[in-house]
Amino acid sequence: MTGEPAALRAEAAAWLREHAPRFAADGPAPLSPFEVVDEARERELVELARRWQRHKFEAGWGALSLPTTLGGRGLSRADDVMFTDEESRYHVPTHVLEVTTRMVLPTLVHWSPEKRTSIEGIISGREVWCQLFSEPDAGSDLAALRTRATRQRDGTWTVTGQKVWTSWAHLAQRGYLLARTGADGHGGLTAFELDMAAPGVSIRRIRQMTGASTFNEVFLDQVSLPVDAPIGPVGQGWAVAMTTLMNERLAVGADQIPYDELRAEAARRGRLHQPDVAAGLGAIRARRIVLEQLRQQMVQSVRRGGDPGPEGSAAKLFLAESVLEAARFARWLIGPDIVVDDRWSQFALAWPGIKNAGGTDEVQKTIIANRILGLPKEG
Amino acid sequence: MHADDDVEHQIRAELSRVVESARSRRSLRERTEGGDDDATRRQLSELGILDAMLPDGPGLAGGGLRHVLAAVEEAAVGLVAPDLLVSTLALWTGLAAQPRPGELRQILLGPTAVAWPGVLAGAESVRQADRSVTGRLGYVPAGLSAQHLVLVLPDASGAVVCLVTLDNARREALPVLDLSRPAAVLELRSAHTRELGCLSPAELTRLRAAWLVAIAADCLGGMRAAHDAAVGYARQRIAFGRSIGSFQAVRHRCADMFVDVETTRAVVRGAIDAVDEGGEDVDALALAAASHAMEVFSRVAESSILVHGALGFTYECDAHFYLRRSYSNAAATGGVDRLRAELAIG
Repeated sequence: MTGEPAALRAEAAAWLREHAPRFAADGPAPLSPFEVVDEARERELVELARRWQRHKFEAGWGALSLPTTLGGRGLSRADDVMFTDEESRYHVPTHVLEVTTRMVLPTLVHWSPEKRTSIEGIISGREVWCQLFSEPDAGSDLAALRTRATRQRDGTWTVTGQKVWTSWAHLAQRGYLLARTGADGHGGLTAFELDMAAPGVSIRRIRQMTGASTFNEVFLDQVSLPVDAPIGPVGQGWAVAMTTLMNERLAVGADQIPYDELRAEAARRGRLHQPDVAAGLGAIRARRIVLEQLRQQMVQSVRRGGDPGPEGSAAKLFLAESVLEAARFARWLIGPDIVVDDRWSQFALAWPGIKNAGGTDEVQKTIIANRILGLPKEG
Repeated sequence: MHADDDVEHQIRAELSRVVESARSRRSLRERTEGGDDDATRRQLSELGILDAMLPDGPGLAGGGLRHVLAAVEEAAVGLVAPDLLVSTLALWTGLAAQPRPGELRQILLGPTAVAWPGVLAGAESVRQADRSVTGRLGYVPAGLSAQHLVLVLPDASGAVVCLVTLDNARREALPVLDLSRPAAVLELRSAHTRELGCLSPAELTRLRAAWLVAIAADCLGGMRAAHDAAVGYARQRIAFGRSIGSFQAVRHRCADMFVDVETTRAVVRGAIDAVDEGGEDVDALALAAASHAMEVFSRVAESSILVHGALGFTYECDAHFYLRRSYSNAAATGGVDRLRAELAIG
């Protein structure tokens, strides 16, 4: 193998084999992030996730790409992805900390390494973060957001506005907020750190079509932020957000396609060797393998010091389509059992979540047409 | 994982030059009617592409597939070198059987055809008897001009790989769907045969993985060309007073093709590395690469025809040559669904 430090992967795999099973959640792994869990179970999972993060950190596996001065090991982001891939073999509840560790953390380290307490809070599993970007009138069109932060005479900030689709806001201690501090458009934005318990922050849970409530509306009414709340320079919010979205591309993982579970379900029904069932399963396994290889390409590109590259948009589109394909296959496999509300029927309803999160198909295709294919702009 | 290395870059650049120069002299239509012209043949033979597969060959290939498949992919971009894929498979198959140097030279001198019942269509009725084979091969690419045929004959203990002399074979040109890859029907009547070696079931599986990856690389080159042609045409064609590449429906169709190309590129690279490095997941990667490449090449080729409008339905446009290659490739190795079923069941 060239490029990838196989030794580190082997070391990680060995460590995980010994430690991860103790932190695995009870019961079968969820088929999607949008499977219904009751509140008590959700609280248990969050606690387990935080203890697991703390355990990884204490053993030196919690923050591979962070500089040693911030408690990390000074390795590449590519090594984080490698570790995450190995970790995804176990049913450890990492998904509630995905926004926190995979998106907020690299953004803070890149733009505000002076926020040591916040960084330490993440890697030690003390705090859960949420990301407050989208608004009712600014989703894919993020630069249209209207939540306003106004600087007061004493240098503090006052924020008023409304955010939406905020995953895990109901569990988070801290928020990563994008707000308008200047003129319209990309240039007038600033990123902030926000205390989710501050007066003026209120949260309304949104029920998704699967029945789960993983995301929320967040209302900000005259919320006061301290002088040092900005993440990165004032007015540079767009660039800060781009760092986050680039890291989101690296979070596109094949583990969202539940191939092993589909295969086990086909076997349980005695249909594994039916030619059309086998071919359908093989198509889904092929998609997982393709996605893993795409991710390897992105990781290589990051290791060489670049961005995930054009593979990022292709990977997002391919993942979302693959989840839909897997859902269609599941529906076909279970046939009349779809009428009962259970984990498979919830899985059959979960795909729109993946299609929309991180940019719709249409937005991704437009990005490819504009930035990669260089096609003329829409008239 | 492989980082692009200098040799691979060089091979790709040289093949691109051959493709460009072939395109500058003759249209694809002329080339499919008459084959590569002499200049193209000379340029290709000077490159010594197949030598890169030899264990001690020049180009520091170390006997891998990676460099020769880079050439196969780039040749497929221009649909030049119709026999290259087949010669590659023939040589790789011959090498797997560990032949003597003299036999290796005969395969290398080429063009050498290759047949494997159930994998490359049409070798279903061949019988082996005491240093000869008899039977009919219904579809042999490069079969019109080949001096020799590498034949894989599966048996209870794996497979026997033979080198068949085609001096007395009856050959008939087959009217083929893929006009850029001529093929023949071969009648073998006690054709002289030397056994190159035997392959265990594990070696046979590994050999087939290499075949699958080679076909996937051929698909990748073809779909790249089909996609590039569509994007190029979308930029330049004007309708309703604007470039059709500014209409969202066309833009998004081109983006879908891009996803198909990039996903294939990633999985083909991974699969080639697995073959060359003897990775344990080589079979799964090869099955995934081939089934994905075969399916999406057809989709990309169809989209390319559609972006070209009515022109795409004619010989005025090259798009159909790629569609022909894609439909033909998709039928190799038993077809996409068979590969997928194998991927699920093993």
